[in-house]
Amino acid sequence: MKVTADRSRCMAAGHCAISAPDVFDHGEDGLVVVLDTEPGEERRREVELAEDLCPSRAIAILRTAAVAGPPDAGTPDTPDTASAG
Amino acid sequence: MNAPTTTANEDLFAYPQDRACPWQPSPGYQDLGRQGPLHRVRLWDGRWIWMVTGHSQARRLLADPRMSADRSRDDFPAVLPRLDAPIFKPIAIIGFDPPVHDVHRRLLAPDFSLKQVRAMRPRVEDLARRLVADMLQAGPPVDLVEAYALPIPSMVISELLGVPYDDHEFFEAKTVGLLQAKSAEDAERAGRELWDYLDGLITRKEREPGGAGVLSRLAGEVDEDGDLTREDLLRIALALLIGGHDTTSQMIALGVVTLLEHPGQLAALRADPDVLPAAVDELLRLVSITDVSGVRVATEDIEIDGEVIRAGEGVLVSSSMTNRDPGVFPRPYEFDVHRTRGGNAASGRQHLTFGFGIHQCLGQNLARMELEVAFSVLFEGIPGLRLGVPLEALPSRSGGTMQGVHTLPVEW
Repeated sequence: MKVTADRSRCMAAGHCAISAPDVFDHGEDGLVVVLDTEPGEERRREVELAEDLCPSRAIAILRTAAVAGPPDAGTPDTPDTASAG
Repeated sequence: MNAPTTTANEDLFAYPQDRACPWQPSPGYQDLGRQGPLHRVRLWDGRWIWMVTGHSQARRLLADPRMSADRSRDDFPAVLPRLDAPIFKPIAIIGFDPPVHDVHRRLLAPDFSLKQVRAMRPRVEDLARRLVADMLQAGPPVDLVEAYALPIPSMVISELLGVPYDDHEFFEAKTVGLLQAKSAEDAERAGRELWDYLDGLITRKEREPGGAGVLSRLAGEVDEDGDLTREDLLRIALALLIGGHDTTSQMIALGVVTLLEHPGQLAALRADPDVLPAAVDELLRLVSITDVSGVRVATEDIEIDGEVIRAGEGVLVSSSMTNRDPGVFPRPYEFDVHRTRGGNAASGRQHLTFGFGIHQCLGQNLARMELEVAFSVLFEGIPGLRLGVPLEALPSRSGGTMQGVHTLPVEW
């Protein structure tokens, strides 16, 4: 999956760096920095949590054309794999 | 514009209503929550506003740029008489819309960032241990608010801002005077005293640059034609000083009460310190210390789930009720420190105690750290802690939205 963070929207709440610390961090200004713009599928659940918790909607997961189905089709494939990891 | 004071409003649910239990919303709100996500409620001045109890509706409305947080607008609802005081009208950060809000918020982001908060943690742990040692030396009974719950956030915000802690009795008393005033006049009087105090402090910082703390740094960045005027700085200082200690101290106090009244949950927390961050968010969810996630006024008609919020209508998002939306939190009235077990601990952050949207609490990570330290150091240092009076006899705040106790007698 591809991940973006819009620093012009970021309010430095910090949820992303807590939810997915291998994918997001923040800079000296407190605002979001993306550490890994194309995290593996094993990170999907935590990245989706980061996207969901972001209060200023700065984080977006880009659903590429390669992913079949509508954008919200990502939910069913996560539970078992994520809890095993 | 809005504010119709028709007789029909008299039949509406009167807001606010006091809690019957320190960690549960008022029984009246619980009834409303069962009826749906959006309600019309009547305020003290006869005006009606929307009260939101649904989690999804709350998130959408709080993140909607058509909802204004600008308290200087004539149509912005004053939820309590004290909030009609002029000092509250242009309160920094929380009471401004973009672009001013975003400029001020970014100015402060580095000081409240996760990294900064993590760096502060060892000093807060030392402080909490010192306070526990003092309590043990004094012996029971002790008022936990005065001896522990208030000094922690008060010293932390003093240090962070560069406000002399020696003045704490003054600024703590005036903050209570401002936030708990029964009238706009009383709130204004207390607020002006804080304002004059901060004005003098900032003048000293301007004369002696290079001091420690956020206010010293910002005093050097004041530019009357730029993003930060001196009046902006004073408003920011006031908002941070008030916001930095009262809510956190009462959250420590009511968090301790909630843990003591749920011995099984307290034991689970003691058995596994890794549960601490999730337990803190569960306590934040349950106690919902401010009871309100945010107040706004609609600047355009907004359609939401079959209802239309008209331009000029006020909206109040209830944190205690949105935090109990059963669609998001199963068994919502239960205190369960293991609520997020198996998942990412951060999933416990779905509560709306800190609000949502661009106004979500600036100090939330600082508050979480202070709460983690406060609970862990207290129960480690005084394992036999118990309430000094029956739960029903706790002197609780009443008549407002900010929850809390005037004192918290404890023994061991």
